[in-house]
Amino acid sequence: MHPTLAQLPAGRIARVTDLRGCAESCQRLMEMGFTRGTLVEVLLRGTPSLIRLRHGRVTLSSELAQAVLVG
Amino acid sequence: MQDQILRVAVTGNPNAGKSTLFNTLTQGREKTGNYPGITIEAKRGDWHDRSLFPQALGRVELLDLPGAYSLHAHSPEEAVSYRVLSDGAPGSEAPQALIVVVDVMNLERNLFYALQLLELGRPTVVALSMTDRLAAQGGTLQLQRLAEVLGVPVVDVRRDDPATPKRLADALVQALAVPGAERRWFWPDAPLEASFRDLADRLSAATGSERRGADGTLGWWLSSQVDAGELTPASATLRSELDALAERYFMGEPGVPARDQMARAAIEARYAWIDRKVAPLLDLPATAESRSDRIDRVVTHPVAGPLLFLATMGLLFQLMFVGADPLISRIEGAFGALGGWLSEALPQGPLNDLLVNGIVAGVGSVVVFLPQIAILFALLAFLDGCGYLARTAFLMDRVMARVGLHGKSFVPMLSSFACAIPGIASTRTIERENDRFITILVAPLMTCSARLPVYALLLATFFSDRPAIGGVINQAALGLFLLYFLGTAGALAMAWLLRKTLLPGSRPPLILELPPYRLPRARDVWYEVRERCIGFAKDAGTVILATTILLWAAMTYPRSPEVEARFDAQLSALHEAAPAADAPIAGVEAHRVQVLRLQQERHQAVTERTVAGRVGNFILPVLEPLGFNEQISIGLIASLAAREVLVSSLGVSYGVGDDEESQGLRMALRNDPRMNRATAISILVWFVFAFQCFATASAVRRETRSWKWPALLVGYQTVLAWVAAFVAYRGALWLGLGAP
Ligand SMILES: Nc1nc2c(ncn2[C@@H]2O[C@H](COP(=O)(O)OP(=O)(O)OP(=O)(O)O)[C@@H](O)[C@H]2O)c(=O)[nH]1
Ligand SMILES: [Mg+2]
Repeated sequence: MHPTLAQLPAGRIARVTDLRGCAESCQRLMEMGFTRGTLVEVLLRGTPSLIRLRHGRVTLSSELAQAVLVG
Repeated sequence: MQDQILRVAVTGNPNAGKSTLFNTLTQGREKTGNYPGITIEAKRGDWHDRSLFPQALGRVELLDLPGAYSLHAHSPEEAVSYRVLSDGAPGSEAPQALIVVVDVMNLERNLFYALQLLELGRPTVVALSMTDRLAAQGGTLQLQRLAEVLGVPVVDVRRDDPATPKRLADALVQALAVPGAERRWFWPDAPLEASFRDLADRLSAATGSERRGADGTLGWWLSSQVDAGELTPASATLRSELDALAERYFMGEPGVPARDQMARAAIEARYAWIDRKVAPLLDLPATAESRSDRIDRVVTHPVAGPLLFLATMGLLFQLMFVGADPLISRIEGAFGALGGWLSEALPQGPLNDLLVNGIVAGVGSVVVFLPQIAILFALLAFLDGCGYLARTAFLMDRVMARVGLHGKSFVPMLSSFACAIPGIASTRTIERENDRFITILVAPLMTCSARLPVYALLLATFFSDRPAIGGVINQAALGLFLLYFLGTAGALAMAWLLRKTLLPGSRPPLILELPPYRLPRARDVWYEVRERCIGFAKDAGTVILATTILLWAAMTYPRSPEVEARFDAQLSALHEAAPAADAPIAGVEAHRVQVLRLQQERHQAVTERTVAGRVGNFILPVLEPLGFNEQISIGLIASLAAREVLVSSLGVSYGVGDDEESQGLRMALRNDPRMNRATAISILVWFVFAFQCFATASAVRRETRSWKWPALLVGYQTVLAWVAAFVAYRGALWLGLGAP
């Protein structure tokens, strides 16, 4: 089982491997760039967390961070 | 050709710079700001420089749209793009050409939406914004190559470059010249593409709609939707056809519906294309930690962040009192002088009275607060422009979670500090209806700028002569802070209550992009402040003026000559008995106070017999437990026209029009024995919670499309205001604040 974005320590860079259990919101996450294979970095862990996604910064509440599997 | 119109939509991701470009092209003044979700409805404007286009094209009409991440909308504001692109703005037709604004600093992510639009197959120009920032960070983009791979013109629309409109116009003409504009497809694989073409052909034959059906693009982008839903409805036929297609091609992952799989495939196909074709063209050094990230370390810090937020607000209130005070005194003086001059220059009579004690006293008392309004709006415009708004959504998310909302709901609440009406409209960025309704219903509890004159007047009158706390913190400023806080706390409490009762739901998940910090341009801030100040002055000149005149009439007629005569006799007797100029100070002072008292008694006795006096007396029993006298009661009724009217009505009822040397209304209030700190607190608390603005009710009606919600708003606000003011008044009396 892959860890989720919520478990990733701040400062570690990882690849998105899948999105799970958030049908509608998952689609939005993907449209915003959380597609499989994309590199992400957790800038600030917590609720909500702050993520570096390509050249942008996106904040996600914890249930969404848990939906993003990384590896 | 006068009636020929070329309609061009300006669209793109939120915060990409669409409104900025629109303003450049139309020389318009649409609101811009560094937050994804500033524009919330389609705005129309004409391309200013017609000479850039061939005569035959006719008028070029531009549409500024709210930002969207995808044609598949997630919020009402985002659905506007979909609706306008497919059907046109209300009362208009679908745009013939598109300008897609793409933020180069977020090139790949912005291009996702751009690709969806290219699939529509309409004449399109890609407009690159923020190119100045790209250059500043030492990045480069192969613009020509990008245009080649996208198959449409790509233009640098650098802000502040006078050549931008010309470049863009040329590109637009070029895009329009391509016959049956080349359309782009971004398929995951060939067999699926074949099926889509087939589906498209059948659909266009069946529905006869060439524009949408012929190229099958509608089908393709709808395929990227999990559920077409209410915001972007699709025909039932299309939906079932797509389902069948999905079943055929996406059996891969067990447990995930085929349709979801197809939607994901569609999204990933576009990103894969972008990574393959576009990413290599951009050279943007990936600085490990940008300047924004460093600022965010402090601003979003769990402890420092909220403290900084409170400090910012505190500074605002301190500025509003300490900074604005000299200006306010000057304006007060000017109005006093004007009133004095008028009352001398004009013959005695009703006209003199109307001008001096009605208009100058009433409207003047309100206009005095212009400097404070200006300071408030300057700060809010600065926060909008620098990118702090998105951070407040981030910071408040944890607090909002407690009441069952997400941080984005706090942004409309914060903009309600200016005015609840745009605040209510900006809830369209909230995805789910129940969450949106809760935010709409509590936004009016946030202290708007119309309450400011009332707060400022009472605080300055009853609290600002107290010693500053620790020598720095002005007590009135602290009071203002507490009032804003009380309104916010009330809004949060009501949100919690509504969530538990009428508008249940789980806590919505937060997805929000935090834009990089930018120093707002001085002119953006200046325009905003100027607009708002003009608006305030206009209100003072129209609604407030009209209400004030009515109030003056209601407070003047019918007259009671016998009462006036009786008091006048007493007054002249008192004047006779005046101590000599060289008498001891104490005696002179005591006499002066006696005269003042008598003048006020006269005023009261006369007012009591007027229309307003009678109405005031009639409702007094309901308001008396809150410590309100008739003057206040009349003012409260009148303030339903506009909150500031309380101030103007007090100005009229205390007759301070020609008061030059004293500080006008403040002095009159302080000298009224029935007014004290407890009554002031009670009025203030009433103003924090009470329903006083019909424009807000109609905004709520417009956004909720029902009278039920505005009715609820009026009801709960009234009850809340009464109870809270009662508790505050009794509490203040108990604390001994009832002494004059
Ligand atoms: N440096 C720089 N800043 C820009 C440029 N264009 C826009 N901005 C800033 O970017 C922010 C967003 O601009 P807007 O025009 O409000 O963006 P929008 O796309 O209309 O945003 P929404 O209406 O919220 O979707 C503002 O703070 C602008 O001042 C540009 O070319 N360069
Ligand atoms: Mg905009």
